Amino acid sequence: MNLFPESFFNILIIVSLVWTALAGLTLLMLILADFKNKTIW
Amino acid sequence: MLIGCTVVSGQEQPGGGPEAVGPTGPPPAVRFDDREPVNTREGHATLSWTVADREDEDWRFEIQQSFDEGFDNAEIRNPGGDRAMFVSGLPDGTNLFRIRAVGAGGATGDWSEPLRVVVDYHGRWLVLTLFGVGCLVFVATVVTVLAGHRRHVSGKEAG
Amino acid sequence: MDEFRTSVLTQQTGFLLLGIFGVLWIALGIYWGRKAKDTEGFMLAGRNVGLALGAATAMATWVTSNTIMLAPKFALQMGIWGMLAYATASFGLFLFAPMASRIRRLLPKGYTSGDFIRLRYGRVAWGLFLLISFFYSMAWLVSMAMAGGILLNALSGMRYEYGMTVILFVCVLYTLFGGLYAVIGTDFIQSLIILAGVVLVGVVVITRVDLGEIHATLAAKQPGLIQVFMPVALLSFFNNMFFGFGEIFHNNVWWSRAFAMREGVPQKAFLLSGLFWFPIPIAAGFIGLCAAPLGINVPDADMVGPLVASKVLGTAGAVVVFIVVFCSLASSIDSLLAATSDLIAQDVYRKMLNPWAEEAQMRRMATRIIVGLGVVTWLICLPRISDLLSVLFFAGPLVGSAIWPVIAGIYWRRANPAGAVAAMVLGSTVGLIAYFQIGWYTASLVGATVSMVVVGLTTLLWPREFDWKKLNEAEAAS
Repeated sequence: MNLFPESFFNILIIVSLVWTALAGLTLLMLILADFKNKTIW
Repeated sequence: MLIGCTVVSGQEQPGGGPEAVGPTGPPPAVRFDDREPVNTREGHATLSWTVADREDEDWRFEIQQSFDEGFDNAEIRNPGGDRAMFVSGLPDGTNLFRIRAVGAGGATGDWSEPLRVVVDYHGRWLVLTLFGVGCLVFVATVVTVLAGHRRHVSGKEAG
Repeated sequence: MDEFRTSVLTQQTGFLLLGIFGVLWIALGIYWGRKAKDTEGFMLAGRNVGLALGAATAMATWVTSNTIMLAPKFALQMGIWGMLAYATASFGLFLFAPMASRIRRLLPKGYTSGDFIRLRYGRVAWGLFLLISFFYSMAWLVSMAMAGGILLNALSGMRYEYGMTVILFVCVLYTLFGGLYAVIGTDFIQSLIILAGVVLVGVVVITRVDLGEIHATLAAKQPGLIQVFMPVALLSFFNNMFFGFGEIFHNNVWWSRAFAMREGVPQKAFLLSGLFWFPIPIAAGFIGLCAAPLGINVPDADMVGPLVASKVLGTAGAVVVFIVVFCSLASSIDSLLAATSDLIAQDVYRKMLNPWAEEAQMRRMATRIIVGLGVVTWLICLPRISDLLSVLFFAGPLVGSAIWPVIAGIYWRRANPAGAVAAMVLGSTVGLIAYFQIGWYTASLVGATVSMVVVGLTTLLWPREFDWKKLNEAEAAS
């Protein structure tokens, strides 16, 4: 029975968390940019 | 998204205190609610059980999981004071479970009749066929959208 | 009878959190609602939404209570493949990005996905499409309101009826006051809270557990979960993806967003929302894999997420889960209320019943429909019939069968009405058969496949030229 290796398991979880955090930061940056250019709405 | 659109149903929080506490006296018999073997193609099942008497008391439980009737190389699972346990990722084949109640000072009751959970994963050909069909439909969808998008951008399929 | 005997938070905390966030959403709804001067403002936020709000609203709407609750359950049931399968739901957002830009061009004055189907395929396909769409939308609304009530009950011991009612009431109220402005504005804040909450819980869990040990314990006790060839998970992989495609491509929730965004924004916004959404099922889901290795008994797979979070993080964890769940529920319920009421107001009221409806009448109608939808959902949810939910699973093959009529309708000049109708009927039927014969995890896959074959064949065999200009109703009328 082939199992996913531990390294894959670890990387998957850590990358997903970092990625999610970056998504939040990107959203903040986007809203700041829209705010500056007055293009929010 | 809707996938599964599952709603949770109420269950007890996991209990299970330190060994010393618990109801005194000989622990009662316990039996699984499923009498017949449980068949699953998905490798998971919810086990639930009932205590024969003094059922309102805070018994803890111990479950053994094994491949052989004798439970020689059994894995131990501790559901604490819960009266149900979700098991998943079970290997193909017949998985046997048995349970007993645990009372004060670690006093244990008798093991229940074993419950068989028969795991029979979908066969390789069905899985690979449907996976392959999925790949094809996926590629066709992506190609259709992207090709359409190119025509759209180039103005060939004008709106 | 199913009430939790013990819950992590007290009822007071539960009501306090509901109160704080409920008041916040309603206040913001009133504040943003002042921007909605006419129907177009109310229904489509003035067709001028920017990139940040556009991306956030698409992401937040796609994060439902199910993403937060079901991702850990998928992980627990199907392991690593289960999480990956769930993450593929984001592909629908990626593919909708180019579609959104075409939709904007084809229907510059469009309001709903129903508008498109009616103009493109005629009344029969339109009726069928509306049926599928209403069934799906109600299924989604009911499942979330029910899930909300049950979850809040589980987390704080608050009565199911109270939690369910408060959530629905708050969402109806702020959608009513603010229309799509309120929906999109609150979605942005809810997105940030959801992302922060998921990261917070995930990071605390990995600092408290040893991932290596989790892997080792899984290998010994639940090998199926980290197996490379996991049959059920592989079956559900494309099924999930197509369920997501069907949901996004057909539903007015997404179309109304495409119409609401400023020129040039939709494509980027949907791409970004897919990128933002992709990691969430893994980040929120992996804690489900940690249950058994951490010695946490899971009496009920549906509860694994909150169970692990509160076990590892204590009360603080439960508070975070409570807030994240409330945000994800609100961000989806509000969108559904708004988009479904648009669909009824525009497609049923204006197009079928009262074609000469004036501006003020439309606005009045839209608000009445939002209240009506809220009341109907509330009535269906009140008795807490969990068997009802198995009926809702049927939405999978139905929406799967709508994928190809929509794509072909947008991109293929020769796709014809008979093909679209046949694809929806046959796709749904065969998909439902697969549901019962093989399992739920194949129904959307089969529905989508049949619908593809039917649309492809009918377009090849009986091509019918379509004049794209007919889609621009304003222009066609003048």
